[in-house]
Amino acid sequence: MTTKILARISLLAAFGLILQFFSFPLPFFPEYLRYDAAEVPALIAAFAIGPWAGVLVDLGKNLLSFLIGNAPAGIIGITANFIAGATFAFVAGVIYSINKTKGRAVFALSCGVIATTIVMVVSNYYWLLPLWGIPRNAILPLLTASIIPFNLFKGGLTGLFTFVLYKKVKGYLEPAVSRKNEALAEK
Amino acid sequence: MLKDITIGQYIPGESLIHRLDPRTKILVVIIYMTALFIINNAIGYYFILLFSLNIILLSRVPVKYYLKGLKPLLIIIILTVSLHIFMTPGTIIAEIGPLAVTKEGLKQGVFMGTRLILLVTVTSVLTLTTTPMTLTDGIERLLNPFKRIGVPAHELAMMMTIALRFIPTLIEETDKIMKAQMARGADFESGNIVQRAKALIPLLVPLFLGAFRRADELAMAMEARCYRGGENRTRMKQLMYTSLDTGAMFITIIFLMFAIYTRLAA
Repeated sequence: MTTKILARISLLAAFGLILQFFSFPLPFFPEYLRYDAAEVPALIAAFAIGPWAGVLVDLGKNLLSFLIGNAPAGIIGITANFIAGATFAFVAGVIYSINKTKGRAVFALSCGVIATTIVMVVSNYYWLLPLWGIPRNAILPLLTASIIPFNLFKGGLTGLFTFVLYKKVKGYLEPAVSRKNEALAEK
Repeated sequence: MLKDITIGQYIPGESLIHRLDPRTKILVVIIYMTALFIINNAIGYYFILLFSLNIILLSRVPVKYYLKGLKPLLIIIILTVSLHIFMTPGTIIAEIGPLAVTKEGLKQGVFMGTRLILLVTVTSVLTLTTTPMTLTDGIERLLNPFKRIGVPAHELAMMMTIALRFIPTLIEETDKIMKAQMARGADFESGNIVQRAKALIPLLVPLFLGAFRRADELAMAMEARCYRGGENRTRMKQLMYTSLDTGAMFITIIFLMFAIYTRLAA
């Protein structure tokens, strides 16, 4: 890992943490399931640097929120958040890295959302919800009523943000592309 | 909105818990959590409550800070406890309309509620009595033996250090850009979800570019000062185990053994 990549990952993790403060409640969901755009930096890292960078940004963001005591749901909360964010960034990053086109980006983000939802359903069913002490017979209704729609909705919105943003910041991150654009603009 | 953000919740102090080595504290928390999930009966819970109360008293941090940490979890605690109370089959001891309270449910509900509260409180002890930087140091040292199997211990700690250093800078920059956009008529704090999401875009683009620019400048500055990873790096503040740490570990291991015993004995 070069120093430049290390520094970029660190700054993106710090940025993700700050984005957590801009959370807002979603319509139709209970107040405690709030939306924040904190996964966007991880996804940008996954697109611009590589899938593992995305995972590291998400790990950094969650470790930070634990270190500064900003994790309302404690250790289980940040673990859940990390699993969701890392899956999203990794899946989207791997698919995008094969072929970097606009259409591929949309496909990568959609796959990311679906993979995240599946992983969250599995980990909640077998591990996270029992850890919270939710009784077995109450898990299934909770899953279908809140976890599946919430993850799909949150992932979709994050994906949309990433798509719009990446288009705008790409020029700066991929110098080769931006130089070509500048040359075109000069003509 | 940004001015009410507090970064970190460290309460300075000189208590026994404050003076422990961060590595000891992290290990104790891990053992404590294991014990919390091993325990499954009233004696065990009574014992762990006593142990936790002692830790809280020893930390000399006002109890209101611990309560503040529990507040965001209130909903999930109430949800869990009531799910157990009303949905566990068994001997009915009270009926409220169509809902029946069972003896087993009440017991299970109290146990689960206690477990959740303790789980959050013990992590609060960690973050209330240790600065984020010290904790980062502790994590790096604890992960060091796993370097051989590819755990990037130093890089992770470096990331945390850089990120912690730049959080205030980024917050300041966010504030500046928000004000600049607000002066041009942007509205971040009202409207429906689509409006709110749209309002974030003109804020995020300059922030992203700023973060990347800062990162590249920092990398150049680090390399100009011959940064080359964690090999042979020396530090100004060395972590050291004292007899206090040995004592704490000893008590915790006895505690873990007792927790296992209460489960096996029941």
